[in-house]
Amino acid sequence: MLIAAIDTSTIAVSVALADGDGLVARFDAPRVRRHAETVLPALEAVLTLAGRTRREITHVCVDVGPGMFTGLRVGVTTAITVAMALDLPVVSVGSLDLLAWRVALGGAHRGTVGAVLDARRKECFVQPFAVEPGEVPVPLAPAAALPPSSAAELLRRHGCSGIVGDGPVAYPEPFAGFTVLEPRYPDAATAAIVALRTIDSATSADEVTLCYLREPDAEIPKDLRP
Amino acid sequence: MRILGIETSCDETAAAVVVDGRVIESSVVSTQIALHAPFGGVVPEIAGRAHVERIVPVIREALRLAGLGPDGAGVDAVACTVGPGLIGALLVGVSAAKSLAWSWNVPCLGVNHLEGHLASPFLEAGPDAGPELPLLTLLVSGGHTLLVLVRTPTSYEVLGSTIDDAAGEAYDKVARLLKLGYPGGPVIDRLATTGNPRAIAFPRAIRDRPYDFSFSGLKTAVANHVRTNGVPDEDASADIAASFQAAVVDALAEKTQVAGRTLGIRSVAIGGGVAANAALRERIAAIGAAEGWQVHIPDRSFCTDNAAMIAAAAWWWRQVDAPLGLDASADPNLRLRRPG
Ligand SMILES: [Zn+2]
Repeated sequence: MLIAAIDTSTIAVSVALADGDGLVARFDAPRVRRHAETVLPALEAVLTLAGRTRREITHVCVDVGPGMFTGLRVGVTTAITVAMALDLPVVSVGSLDLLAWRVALGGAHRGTVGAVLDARRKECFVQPFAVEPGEVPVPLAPAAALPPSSAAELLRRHGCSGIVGDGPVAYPEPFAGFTVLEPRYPDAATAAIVALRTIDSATSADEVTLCYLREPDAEIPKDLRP
Repeated sequence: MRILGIETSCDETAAAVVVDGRVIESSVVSTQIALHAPFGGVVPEIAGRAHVERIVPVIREALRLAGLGPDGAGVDAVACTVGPGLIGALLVGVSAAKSLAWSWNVPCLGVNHLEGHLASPFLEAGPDAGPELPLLTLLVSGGHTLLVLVRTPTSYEVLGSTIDDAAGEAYDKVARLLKLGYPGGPVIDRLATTGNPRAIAFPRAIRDRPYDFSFSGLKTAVANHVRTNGVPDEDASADIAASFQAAVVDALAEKTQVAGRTLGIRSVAIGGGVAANAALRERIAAIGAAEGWQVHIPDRSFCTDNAAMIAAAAWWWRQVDAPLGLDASADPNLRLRRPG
């Protein structure tokens, strides 16, 4: 088994390889933004580092969001077309789930935690999780795009004391009362490790769907309204 | 050389398999017109989302129709549109093409969308056939209005272009004024057949630039006419559509004819979405017959955006342009090359 994982849901771009024994190689560019330019060179690089070839990949894993729309599309398109071309199944993971997984796999925090990513336009992508060290994070509410103050309110309602993600970096004030946990961004190394545990959820490339959590920014012009 | 072409620059998700720039083994186009119609134009974010949803099925189908499998056996290169177009839309095609080429270990070729349109007249011609050169190509779409002198498939010169709106844009705006829906080209073309093209004297071509076009004055004239005379009934709409279309076709045809005579061309071709328009097709065919030029009017499905033209252009340019690196991106503002 060799899982190739891709995460382009934020300004960070990462790629990782994992096999049955765990992580093999990883590439992390924390603030490059240039998703299209970075993903395939990174994938090629981790394979070279690991002394493996593209033909040895058995599964593709990709972060399907929520996050930056254009970045997500680059990562997901890359994942599903590689999967189609090499006839591989795809494990989809969510960006907020990955943040919660990082906390669970870190083992230092237990209880409820809020995953919060900056969604731009004065909103956050937010979801509360129940986290036990080493265990699958359990979502306590559906993921949502909310103004920061409503996101903070939602997390308080679910008893979250800690939050993970770049939400509090973008909007410090509404999240002032929370303990800020690492990391800021989801990453492919975590995705690859998670994929090892959720491999039964793999689908064909055609079934992968992105999680936008927001309607496209488009308004029907006045003269075209019925 | 068998090339899988991919086109996602605007609102069509397309893939095609073409051999040696000429033989079309498959051409699949998934149009998003219905998704954008309520908004009266292409919405970039909606286009980006639709491209990701459709890209794998469209590529699978293009391969299947060509008798190929998703393992890419028999494909010698992958080509994609790198620009011009909507960045979020282009990136889906570029990411897909690079990923397929990487997976199959074949080169990835980047194509200028406009050079794709210019390669269209060479499709489906035998190795020794193809248009007689030099060829004059009139390229008219929602985004572009260009008159191009094609000396060889890889040597051309832009003679003129629009100084304001593209012809297709004018169609969309006029259709909206007449409350005919989106896109404007086909519906105005249809309605015009029942109207009088001489009912209203809308302004024609600009005179001071020999090969340049202008459509914003025409659009304004239609808007003023509608404002002065009120929202037209069906007959009046047909007259406006016919008169507007006559003005557009006159402008396009006249400059094409002058350029062709001046430059001593042997053949003339049209391409782009507006080239699917019946009135323009008839007029260019008539001019070609009168002047003794070979006329290349592609099937409508190869006037509008498609991936066969992208695979064809990639083949013509394969020895001029280096393949794309893994770090290649899209260029939304890519332009045609300067001669030389
Ligand atoms: Zn086009």
